[in-house]
Amino acid sequence: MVHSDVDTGASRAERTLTMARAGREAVISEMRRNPNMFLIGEDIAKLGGVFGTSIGMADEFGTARIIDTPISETGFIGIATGAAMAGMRPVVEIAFVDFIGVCFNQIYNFAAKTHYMSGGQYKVPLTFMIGYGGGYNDAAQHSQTLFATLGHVPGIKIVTPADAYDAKGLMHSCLRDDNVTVWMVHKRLWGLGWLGFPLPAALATVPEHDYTIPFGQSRVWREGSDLTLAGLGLTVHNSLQAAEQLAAEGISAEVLDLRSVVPLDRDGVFRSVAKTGRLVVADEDYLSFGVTSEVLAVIAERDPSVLKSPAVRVAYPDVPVPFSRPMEDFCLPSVERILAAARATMKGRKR
Amino acid sequence: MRVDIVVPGEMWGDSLEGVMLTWIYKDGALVEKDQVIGEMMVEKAQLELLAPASGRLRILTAPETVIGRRHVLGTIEPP
Amino acid sequence: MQPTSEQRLWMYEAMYRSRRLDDAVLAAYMEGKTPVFHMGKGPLPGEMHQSFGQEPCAAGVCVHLGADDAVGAGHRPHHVAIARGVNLKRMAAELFGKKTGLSGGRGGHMHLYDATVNFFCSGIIAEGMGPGAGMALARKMMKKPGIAVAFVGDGAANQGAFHEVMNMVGLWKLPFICVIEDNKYGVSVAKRDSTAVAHNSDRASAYAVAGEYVAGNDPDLIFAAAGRAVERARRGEGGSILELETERLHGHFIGDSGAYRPEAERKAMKDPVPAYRQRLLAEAVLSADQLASLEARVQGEVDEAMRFGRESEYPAPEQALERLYA
Repeated sequence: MVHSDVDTGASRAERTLTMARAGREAVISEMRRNPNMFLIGEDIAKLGGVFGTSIGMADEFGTARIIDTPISETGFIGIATGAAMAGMRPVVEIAFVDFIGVCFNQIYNFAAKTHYMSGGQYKVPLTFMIGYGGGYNDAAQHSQTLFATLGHVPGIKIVTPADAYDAKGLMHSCLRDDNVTVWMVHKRLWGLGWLGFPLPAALATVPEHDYTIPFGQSRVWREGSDLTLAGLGLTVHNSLQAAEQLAAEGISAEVLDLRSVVPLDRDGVFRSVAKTGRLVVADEDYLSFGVTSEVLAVIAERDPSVLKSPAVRVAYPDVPVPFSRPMEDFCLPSVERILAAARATMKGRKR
Repeated sequence: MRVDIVVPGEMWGDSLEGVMLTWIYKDGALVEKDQVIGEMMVEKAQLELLAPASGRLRILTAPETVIGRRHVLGTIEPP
Repeated sequence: MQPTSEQRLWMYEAMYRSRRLDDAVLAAYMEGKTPVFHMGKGPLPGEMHQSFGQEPCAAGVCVHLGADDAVGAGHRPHHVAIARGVNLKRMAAELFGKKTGLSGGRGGHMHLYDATVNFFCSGIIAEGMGPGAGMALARKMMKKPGIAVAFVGDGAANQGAFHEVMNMVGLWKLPFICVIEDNKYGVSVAKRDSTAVAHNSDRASAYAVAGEYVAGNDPDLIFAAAGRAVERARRGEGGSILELETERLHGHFIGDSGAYRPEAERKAMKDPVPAYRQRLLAEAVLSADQLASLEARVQGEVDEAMRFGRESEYPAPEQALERLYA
């Protein structure tokens, strides 16, 4: 902790953190507060997590609380669930969201449903830390987003921060919630050493104290009046870049970070689109049956007359993630695709 | 006494160059000895920079700059 | 069971070809990725799990296999693909993401498929077990010759799929061999910290299959044990777990320093490729001239494959939408 006991006129030193560091800070703080909290997953003790989620924690808390597991997701997620039901506070690391396949039954059929099926007798206070997203040629089984797959089944809360400030606040919220919570970060936003330079916009000033951000609350990164660019994770940043370009073309775009997949801030979505009258929603998950569909449903159900032109979805096409660079780039919800969608919706007329 | 911030020799291994990634504190901030004040990369490894002394941080190397083994990344001045 | 000289040369050539390809891939991989390492940059992007040190496992097993057999590998597939006889040029082109690649660039390094030699890969741990056993089942049901082999790592033996599949292999007496390449690590976690038993081959009795553990990372010893498992399967006697001690000479993927391994342990690892080369010369299996000639030929093939990979065209971007359905 830095003390301002020397009168230099400088305030308590501000810190600019990466999302990885901010997330870790929240976990470490909660681990210190709650002796019943422990981490469990692959490569988290010695390695500190494939995405740096637990660097330094085995040194501070020991390997009895930072538990390296065999490659046995169904097994250790089931074990974590039972521990949660028995009063502990497990935090499960699944490095790549693609790996939920091997253990999905434990997550969606048991952990997510036990509170409900038991009529409230059993709580399952369980948090998952998960990395997602592609754009660096990791191919079909290591590049997915899968918000819809996780979000579709009842009983799971899912958040996806887009900067370090939100990363820490949402992690505290997850770790203090008595339900199954999932904290997901796009791999290209984390500030990791093997994906080039950290995206500057994902860095943020992060307070040293603990703080929470509510579930189901979206965030307006940039106010605008002509159209709403809604996104999550990396597509927030792509939308921000698109908004800059659109401003130069005389179009005022509002950038709305959905931030919370479940619960979705339906009021926030409607409020923004009712104001601007136009909507582009960008998501790196597959197009069909996903977050973008849900966002459009909000408008269609509440009042489609707020739309001055058809809404446009910019999502991953319904194909597996291709390995080859030109094919992968074609599929990503890029700045260019968002710009094209924005211009299209500015021109479109309601039928 | 001003103290230079350099990457310790043993962290370089066989590499000859690295990159400055991020500074956690702003230029002019008061920091304490051994606080993590920044991150840099040497080849494929991401390394933490620790303050070599307590005092005021002066940043000399911006993020995304390529650095060599003897590069002075910044200094700590007396507070 | 002893290999003939011809088989020993076959094994060395498979190991050497894999090694030279991995050397070329390692050099090419770092292009475009310095000074700041960015996995997605350069001509060879993405994750890259290389086979340095594990070559004997593929060579010693695949030497027994023929056109009727099927082989599956995991996320560290190069040595297995090469030993299986996957088209080297098309494999290199796939690593570069070119349209001339095995999958036209759709799969990449962890998803190499070559149906002409009944070879497939999978990127999720133990995921290839079921499909491999299924290929064995199909041969049995269709009364066709051939057996199936799935290569997995020691970490995979702790996945649910491993246990489910091996139970069915035992129950249905499938002509299936699970080859466990025991390089003693699952990324950063040592086998002794993840696995309740020292040898996964000891788990075989739980599934009513045969089990054998081979120490030493020695192609000739692997040859013998693999030969036994293959003959058992061909005779209709059922499946096997063949666990092979091997060495992961490098990190888990390019970019992993392996700093979590004790220094002494890393230094103690022996490279099996030059060791086998030495043995073949010492036992006069071939002369130094013949060896030089073999290596020059293989080097030429690797050079040509890498050149083919680099010079081939990329697919058109819209081709991403093709080949979803048959």
